Amino acid sequence: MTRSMDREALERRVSEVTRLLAEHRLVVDPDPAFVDRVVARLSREEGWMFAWAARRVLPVTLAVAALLMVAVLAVDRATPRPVATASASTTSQQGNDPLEWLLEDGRGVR
Amino acid sequence: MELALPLAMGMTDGAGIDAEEAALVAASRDGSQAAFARLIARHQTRVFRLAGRFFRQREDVEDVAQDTFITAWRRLPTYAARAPFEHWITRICLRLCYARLGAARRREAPAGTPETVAPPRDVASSIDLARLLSRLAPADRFVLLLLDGEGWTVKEIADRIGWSTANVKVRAFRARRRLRRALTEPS
Repeated sequence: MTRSMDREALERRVSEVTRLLAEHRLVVDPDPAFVDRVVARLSREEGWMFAWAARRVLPVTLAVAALLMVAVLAVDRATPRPVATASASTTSQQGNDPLEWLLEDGRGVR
Repeated sequence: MELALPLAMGMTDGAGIDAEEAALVAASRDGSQAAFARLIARHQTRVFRLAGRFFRQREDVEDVAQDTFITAWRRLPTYAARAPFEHWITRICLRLCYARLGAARRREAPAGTPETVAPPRDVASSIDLARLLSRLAPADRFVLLLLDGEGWTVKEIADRIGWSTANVKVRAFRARRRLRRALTEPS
């Protein structure tokens, strides 16, 4: 009997809470300047967005540039450098046909 | 900037989407702050009323309302217009309310001052709702306020927040169980 009464009392309290929850609201209406305040924040947000994007993009840009530099250096080392001959430098200095040294070498072989 | 709008306010395309609103959303997406200001003017009262369910301080309600529109502005490119803009903005607002409730809980003083999230106590009632709610977890409070406060169904809550129906049911069940426990325990 006591248990059922306790249960009834609890159910009443639960119903009461349900009723109170339905009324539980702070009635706040936006003031006339609310829209202006949000729009002002939008403008500030855009500046913030650019700064944020720059901060996000800068490390990536630096990383890509560093990778490219390393790649260029690696390729540069792997490629054998053409051996500059004395005659070639001579011909280039003389201002003649730049391929003249090839012909000269060919003559030498023959 | 005045916008040329094809249809009068309130006319819908049959899928429940207001033609004027669609034009405002499109213009806002293109970067028109004037169009977005008109969207804010249309939805601000609804957002304030919804946020007013969860917070007692006017500043909290105002902050959530501002953040709702700022978030909407940032995420406009992701709005697919499959549902009315109102539902989308409601979802953003609810998520921000939920996050703020959780943050308020974490900030709570260890002394346990009851969080002031209710209007002044109903003198006709023997129950101090503000104190009772402050003893519940933010998730429980959130679900109860939507179910019993807003009067939404489980499906409506699931649709508007983006949780699964099963998730809402489980949370609602746990929230009610904890509420009953809080009602039987001495405060």
